[in-house]
Amino acid sequence: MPTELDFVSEYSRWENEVYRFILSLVPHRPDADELMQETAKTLWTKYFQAEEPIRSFKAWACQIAFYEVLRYRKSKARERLNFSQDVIEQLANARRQHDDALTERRVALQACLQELKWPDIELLRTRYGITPDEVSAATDSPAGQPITNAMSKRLQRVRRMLAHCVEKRIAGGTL
Amino acid sequence: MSGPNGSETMPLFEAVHDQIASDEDVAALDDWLRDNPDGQRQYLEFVDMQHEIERQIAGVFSRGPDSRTENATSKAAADGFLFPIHSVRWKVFAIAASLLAAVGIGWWGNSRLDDKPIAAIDLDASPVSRVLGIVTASENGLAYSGRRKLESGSALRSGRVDLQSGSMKIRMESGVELFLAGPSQIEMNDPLQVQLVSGTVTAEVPDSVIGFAVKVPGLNVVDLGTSFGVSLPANGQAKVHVFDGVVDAEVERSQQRVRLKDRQTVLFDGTSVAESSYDQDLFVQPGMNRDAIPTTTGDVRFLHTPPTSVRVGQFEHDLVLCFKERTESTLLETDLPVSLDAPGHYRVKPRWQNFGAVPRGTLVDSYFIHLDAIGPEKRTREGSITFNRPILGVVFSSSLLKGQNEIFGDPRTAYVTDRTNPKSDPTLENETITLSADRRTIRFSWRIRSRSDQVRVFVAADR
Repeated sequence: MPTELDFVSEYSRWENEVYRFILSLVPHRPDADELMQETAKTLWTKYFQAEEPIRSFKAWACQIAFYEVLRYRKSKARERLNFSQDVIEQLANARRQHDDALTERRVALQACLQELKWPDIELLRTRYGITPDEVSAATDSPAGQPITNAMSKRLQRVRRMLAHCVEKRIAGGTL
Repeated sequence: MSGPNGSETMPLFEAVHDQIASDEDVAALDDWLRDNPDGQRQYLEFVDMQHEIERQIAGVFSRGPDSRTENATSKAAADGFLFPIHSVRWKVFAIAASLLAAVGIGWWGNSRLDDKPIAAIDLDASPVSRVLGIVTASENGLAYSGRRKLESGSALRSGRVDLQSGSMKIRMESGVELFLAGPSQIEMNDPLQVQLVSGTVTAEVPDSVIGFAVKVPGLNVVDLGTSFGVSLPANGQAKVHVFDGVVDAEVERSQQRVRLKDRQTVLFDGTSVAESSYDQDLFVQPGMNRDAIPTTTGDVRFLHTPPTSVRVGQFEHDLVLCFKERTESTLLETDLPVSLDAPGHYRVKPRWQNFGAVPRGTLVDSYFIHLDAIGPEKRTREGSITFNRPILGVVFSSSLLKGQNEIFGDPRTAYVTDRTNPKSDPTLENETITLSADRRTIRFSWRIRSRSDQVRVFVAADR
């Protein structure tokens, strides 16, 4: 019988994978956050109801997340535009297919981040650490001007630089 | 539409990721992705990369609340979660706790999920100023966060801690205690995660915190209830050692996972982990006199080394800070007058008449409690401090405090004195203070007004 510690151990290990999976299937970040919470609830319940041992927690959790995404999409259909069901299915399959390559890219990215200069790290931290309004205030952008107007060019440059670094590392086999 | 490095698709990816895409943009992306395997791969790579940047740079769970997550939090609160839920990982444990409570299973036994300190901390009160931890000790430590020099009591927000020499102890708001031996650098962006950039860090993780991780490039060391150390020397080969309990060492690339138990050590060479020998000089467990450390709850934090100043305006903080003054106990040569010395619940009135005294011949230790809130905020601070020895007296009137500062105050700390401006003297007027019947616990509810609140507590010292 699986124990609660087993669940916590598995969940801690794969939480980010499941979150990345969800994030790939929904275009709205807040939806992904809410879906993760719903998925976590379902995982907790179903983990102890499983009649057979769960051989791959990650695959099992992503499958449950997939159904949560479809259910969520249906429930939010009138509120905002999401990806269509066939695109969600195709993305989920593509994610499984490219799983190893994506992992490899993440490892390369970690090395690339180590090479970033401090102002670029600060920029990314500003982007990801605080809310848009506060970013606007923190970057002296004119009042009311959206975050992207003040920062998008610099962000784009850093993102492209990182993407280029990742490609280079993958091509050169230096992770 | 061209590929992701072209002029159209990349901005569309970015617009969606940055949450500024219109419905038309989402529809356009949906169209482009449909039956486009190469495009799907490119989009997944983009999403994955942005998420990893976010995770590495700022912590995936450290974003400020938006209306939707606030709604989710409110909903969770309505569902019976009694504490603010700010991260997905917090959420799952909250869910677990809630479900367990509902079915009456006490699986976490002594883990105090329902009353542990982390439950009371409003980590997202202000995303900009969110405090992830505080420095609680600095022994000959020369440390910086950005350009800010760090000392005992310094609040730590998202960012890098650069300990150049000496040692430092950090108490994270999750309850995890970190010990750094210089030179070491860590990145703190998440209450449940630390990135070790170089050097050595030791983590003591309380039972109530599960899933805390120390990361080095390519390796996650995930706690399952323990104390452990991670070292990352210049050659990039990380060592992990478990002092007590269990951790999982997970290689990101190969997904290899090794479970380590008491006194086990592994070496990570960048691709895999293998058993290794314990290096006593590499991992130094933080040595401390546990008897001297009181238990704190609520808004109180204990500092293992005193701050450099407790003068008004010089040590402002969101928390109530307590520290032991002087390492040596003091033998009283005369009776020591105190503001109160009997158990009870008190509201401090203006012009408080001191009563009570600690008799001469008593060996005492003194602890100083300090609250000087940042800015004009009027939030009430509540909490308690429990000592393992009896409290003999409590002093809060400014004249007594000032008179005693030279005798009992720590020589490393600047206090209010007769020579400082009396208008900035600490005052406890109209605040409440409770001394428990067993004399071990002092509780308070303080709503700081114009000046700081300061209290000195005398406890019996071991002879």
